[in-house]
Amino acid sequence: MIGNDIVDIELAKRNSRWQEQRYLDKLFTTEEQEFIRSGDQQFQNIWRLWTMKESVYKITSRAEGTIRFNPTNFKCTVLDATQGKIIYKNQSIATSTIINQNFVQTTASSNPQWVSKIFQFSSLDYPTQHSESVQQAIKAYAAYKKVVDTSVAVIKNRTGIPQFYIYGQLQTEQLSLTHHGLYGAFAISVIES
Amino acid sequence: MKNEDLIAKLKTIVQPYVQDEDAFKNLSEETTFVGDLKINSANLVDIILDVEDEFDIRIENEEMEQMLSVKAAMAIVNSKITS
Repeated sequence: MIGNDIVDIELAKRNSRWQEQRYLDKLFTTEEQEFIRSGDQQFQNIWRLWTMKESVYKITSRAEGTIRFNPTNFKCTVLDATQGKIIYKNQSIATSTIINQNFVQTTASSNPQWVSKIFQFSSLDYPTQHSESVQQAIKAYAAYKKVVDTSVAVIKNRTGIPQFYIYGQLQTEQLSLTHHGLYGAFAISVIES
Repeated sequence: MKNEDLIAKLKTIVQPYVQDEDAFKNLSEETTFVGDLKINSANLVDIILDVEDEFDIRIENEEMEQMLSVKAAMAIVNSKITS
């Protein structure tokens, strides 16, 4: 299972109440808030932990088939500058985070074999961004499977999860898409399960 | 509070975060924040804080779990302001 999440730093700065204690209390445990306040990167630390939780949430909500908003149940451990893990209901799921001045992006996967790509959109329009994300994923997946791009389709299943098809046949590799502000990413779990 | 008044206040709160304007125009009690309005999950907490401030209530994390639709938000607000 795979999940990913991206946060556009500029958008998060102006479109969020992240500086308030009430905000932190709704998302983060006491230990996580200690990590956030350690060092001088409080803002980046918030979004690092948030994208870790959200990417793992995408995995567990798909497995459970239910949606809920329970971020404090996803306990973050930061291992080094990029690697981390989330403990959720006795499961441990590894996370990998990329941080730069434009975005914070995390991929979480229960399978260590995955590929991911981050891209910048040409527009802020939601449908345009969705279709650009899907095109990026199709291109990468077609190259990996050594088939032509036009044979690949991405179709959401009835619970809204995007899945790959080749010539109309459902494939086993899993896909996760994310976007926020000007940035988006896909992650593909590449071992057939 | 009348349901129409409550929905109107919720609409004002969620509007800055909406990414699907058509779904927003057709907003009803059944509308979901993430699935229908395409609100980024990073903004769900902002909405919850705005709801707390607008109605002068506090929403516990356990209650927040289910607050994913207009209907659920209305139920939580109603239970807090009438008690």
